[in-house]
Amino acid sequence: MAFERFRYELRIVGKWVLLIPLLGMGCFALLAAILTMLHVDHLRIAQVLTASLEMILPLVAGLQVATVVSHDAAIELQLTLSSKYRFTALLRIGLIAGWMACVALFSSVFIYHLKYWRIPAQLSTWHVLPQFLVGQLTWIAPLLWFVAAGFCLALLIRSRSASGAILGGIWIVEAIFYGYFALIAWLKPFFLFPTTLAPGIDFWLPNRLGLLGIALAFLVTGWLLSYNAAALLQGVSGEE
Amino acid sequence: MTTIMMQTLNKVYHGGVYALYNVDLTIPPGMFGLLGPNGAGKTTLMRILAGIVRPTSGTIRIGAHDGGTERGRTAVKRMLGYLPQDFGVYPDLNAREFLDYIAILKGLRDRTLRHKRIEALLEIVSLTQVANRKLKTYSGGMKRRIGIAQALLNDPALLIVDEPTAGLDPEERIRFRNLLSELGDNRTVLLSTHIVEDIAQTCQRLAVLKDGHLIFQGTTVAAMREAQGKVWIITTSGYKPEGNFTVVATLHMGTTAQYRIVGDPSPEAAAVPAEPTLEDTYVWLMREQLTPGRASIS
Repeated sequence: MAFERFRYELRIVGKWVLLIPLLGMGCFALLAAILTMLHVDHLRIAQVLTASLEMILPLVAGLQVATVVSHDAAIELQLTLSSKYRFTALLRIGLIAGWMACVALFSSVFIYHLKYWRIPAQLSTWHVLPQFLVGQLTWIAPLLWFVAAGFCLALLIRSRSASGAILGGIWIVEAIFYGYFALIAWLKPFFLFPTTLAPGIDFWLPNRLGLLGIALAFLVTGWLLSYNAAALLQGVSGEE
Repeated sequence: MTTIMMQTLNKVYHGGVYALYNVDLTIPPGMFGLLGPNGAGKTTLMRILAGIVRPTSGTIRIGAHDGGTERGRTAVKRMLGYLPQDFGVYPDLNAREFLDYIAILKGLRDRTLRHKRIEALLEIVSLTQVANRKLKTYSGGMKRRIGIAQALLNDPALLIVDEPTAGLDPEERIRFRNLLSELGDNRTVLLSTHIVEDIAQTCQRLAVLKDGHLIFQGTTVAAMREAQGKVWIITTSGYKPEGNFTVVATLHMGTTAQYRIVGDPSPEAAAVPAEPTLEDTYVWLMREQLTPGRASIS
């Protein structure tokens, strides 16, 4: 039954959830190949490929989670079932995050093997295996952060476009003003893309762990928000 | 068979607006109609019974379960079949897959039994032939039929259907009403609608809501007694009669016109008394049961 349930949830979240990260990584691989043929600096290509894992996939995951959580075609029916809807929502979020993680892990193996991995200064002296494993926090931390933020925002705002706009806004601010996040002490725990934009920082590991903590707080908040079933019905017509 | 009892049930939304005001209602087993205009509070009442929305105050018992507690609501959900007003489906699933998914969520673990139940329900709602088509290709009536099939998956003791015939063509409506009547033989079926005809054809008992207030509960016969002596037929040479009444039907017959009215015609109108129908009664209740309007806390 668990497998059938999993299969149906996958069908319900849609094929695009599976295809978009694959297509995205395919595009970045193609771009990297073109840049290599054009003899672009090795560091730039590494930055592009790291950005695909640290900046692009997490944003896509956040947007997908916000979309899936803020809209369920059969939400009113779901809320009347003895199986709690919050578990269904969590399963769908897990599907999205899990698939993104698979794509990111698979891609990172190739990127590392081809020596295009941007290694944070804090890990540069580590042995290969721990360096590679801890280096995965490059994408794990922002991925969970965006997924959890998308979950929270979707439940708070109940609008996929508004949630998406906020996530997109955060992404742009982080990308443009990254210097402030690297220099101002209280902004450091919120620096989402240090591996791509400032790998030389000396707080890379605490930053990653801090982001995971914030993501956990978002997840707990989202979980508590999901208890308010009446709010999930916003947007479904009905009388007062 | 499940009896539902509500006492001084209130639901207040943000801004202090009462969606339900001190509702005392008992719903016995069998078919029960819940009638009222749009915005009367029917959907809120349905959602409270289904455990989606929590009442602000008051008590609610559904069979042996206390609808005011989380444990009670969970128990009610296990014995509930619910067809919402806006019945959304997952468009990329076909009917069999959709029913199988909902059956899994309803806790029907045995795959063989689940599939047997699905086939039987598809047969009942006459969708076996198109069960492999994706739901996005279904008409409104077919989606409603899938809606009733999913509601029956767990053989519920309590079936709640909210505006089930809205948007259906006459043939579909009749088929749907007959199906609901059959289902009401051995369970409690709560039919919420603003279409009087649906209740007249299927329910022996009903309640009428207006602006969140319960303005009538009892049998359809007792309801029609309320409007006894208030329904008239006036025949004129074409002009529309005036007075303190509501015209419920107009029949043009060449040089004359016949008006069916509910209210008090003037003595010179030569009105002939008529037997009230449930629709006349509903109009009478809406006219005469003057509620204080939508109550508000502020």
